[in-house]
Amino acid sequence: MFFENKNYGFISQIDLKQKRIQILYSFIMVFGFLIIILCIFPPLWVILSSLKDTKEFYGIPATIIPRSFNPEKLWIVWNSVGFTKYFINSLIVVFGSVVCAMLFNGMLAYAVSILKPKGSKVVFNLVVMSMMIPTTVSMMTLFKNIVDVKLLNSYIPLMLGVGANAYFCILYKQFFDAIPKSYIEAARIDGCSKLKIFTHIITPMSKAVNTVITIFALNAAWSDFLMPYLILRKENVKTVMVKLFSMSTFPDDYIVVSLFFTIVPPVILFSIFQKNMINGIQLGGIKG
Amino acid sequence: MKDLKKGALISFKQNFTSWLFIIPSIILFSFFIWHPLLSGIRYSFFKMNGFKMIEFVGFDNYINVLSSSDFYNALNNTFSYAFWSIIIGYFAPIIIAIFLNELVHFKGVFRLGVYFPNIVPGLAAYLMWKMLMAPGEGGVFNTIIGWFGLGPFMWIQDPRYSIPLIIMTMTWKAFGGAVLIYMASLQSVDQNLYEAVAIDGGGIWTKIRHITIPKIMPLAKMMLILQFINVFKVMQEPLIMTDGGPLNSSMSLLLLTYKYAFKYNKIDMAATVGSLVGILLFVISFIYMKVTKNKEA
Repeated sequence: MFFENKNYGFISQIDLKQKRIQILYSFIMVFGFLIIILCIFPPLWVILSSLKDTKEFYGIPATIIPRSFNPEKLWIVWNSVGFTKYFINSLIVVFGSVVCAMLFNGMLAYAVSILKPKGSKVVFNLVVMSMMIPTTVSMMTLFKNIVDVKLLNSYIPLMLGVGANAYFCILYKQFFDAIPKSYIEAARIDGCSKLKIFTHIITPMSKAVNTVITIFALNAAWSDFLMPYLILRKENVKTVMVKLFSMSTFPDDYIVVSLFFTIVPPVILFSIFQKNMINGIQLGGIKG
Repeated sequence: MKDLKKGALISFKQNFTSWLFIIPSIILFSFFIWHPLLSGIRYSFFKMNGFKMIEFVGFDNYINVLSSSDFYNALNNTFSYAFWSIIIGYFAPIIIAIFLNELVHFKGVFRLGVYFPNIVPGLAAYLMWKMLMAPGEGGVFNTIIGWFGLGPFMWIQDPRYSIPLIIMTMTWKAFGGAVLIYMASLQSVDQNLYEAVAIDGGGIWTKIRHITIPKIMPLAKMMLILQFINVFKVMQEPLIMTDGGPLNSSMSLLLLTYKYAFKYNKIDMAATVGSLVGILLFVISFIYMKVTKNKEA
């Protein structure tokens, strides 16, 4: 075993020369792997089970490692549920949500952090305060608002709703606060308008925070279920999650395959952007 | 005088263009968050027919809600959720973070692994665990414990275990984020402190007790209150996994507002329970703000 680089934690490099500590270290390692197995097993079970044939799926006792291999089942379920339509619907919502998340939260944060007009602090405090009370407390009055403006069965409230996200606003504000004021002063002296400062100075500098917001908004919009479930009543406008929740009339093996479909896109996203996601959590996670 | 007027005009004009960046967000926040909250409070003082306000009834709705057994059951359950979420959901990430932080090998694998459940969409995660905990002999968990000659259990279908098992599922879904935050905090422990303890003859347990735990204490205090606030929001999980059952054993306060509003069409009752939860959370959040202020000072 190589412990040359161990310069952190309560087990020091010198400790590790003792047999007793080495055993303890191995125990911790085993413990870590057990945790990982616990984290990975349920989604793995979904993937493995969606490939079982129907007979094996309902067999008693359940098999953990599948004996049958039926990839065509994915295709059958995809078609008989009609997932193409629901995936397109979800993609529209996800795309619109990401745009709204960046545009509206970014603009508010820009005004509060850099322009600072009189009274903007009050608005920001109200935004922060709204974080204390979960939106589920007022979901039915929000539902009424949406019905009143005749946006039932529409994606617009889902997209715009992400534009009013206190957490994203705060993340943006923290980022903008750290931009050196001299850049903005210089632009101002050169006669840049406020809009131009936003589009030509702030936006190009905000790549890091934009990536984090994009990934969070993407994931949130894809996973969102309650509001879409209340708003999207017509079959042809449902998103993937709404369809998944209303699949109780389908057999269990169909539901497992559908679970597989809903888990795959975020897993792909995660494997591409894992570094940004984990850094984003460590930076902004405490405030969430 | 003229200059002053001109100055005010310029400052208004300057402010006006700045406000153009804020106004869209104000409209969105009003529509999606502030107005729904306030109108919920207003509804709680009216007798409602659907979404129509019939007449002002003062605190009658509150009296009705506070004297209903549904509310007490849900309140009781919500505290039960809070209890289990602190036993399972709060301590698990601390312990896991302390241990994982020790490992030199496979550090990246462990960090990715614990965060992995976070990316599984909520609905999918809860449906998945519900299926794993299927009560029959064909259930996966029942099969696994069957190898050891146990079971079959009813799992979440057993009113005694529905809440702890829902909390276990929620913990599985979310603990990775907390682990990463604790690990980030543990990374910044000054190594000299551990060495000082070692020189004084302290063992590993002494190091954990006197260095590691005090180091993450401020963070842990904040997380405790966040955990408490979060668990009061519990609604989707029981809705998806048990629909509040069996025998209302997993009905939470917010699930009750959902049922009042969208199942029984009792908007006034829903608004009243919602307002009570809002007040409760406001109080908890107020304490949270105090604690974080003290930490900064």
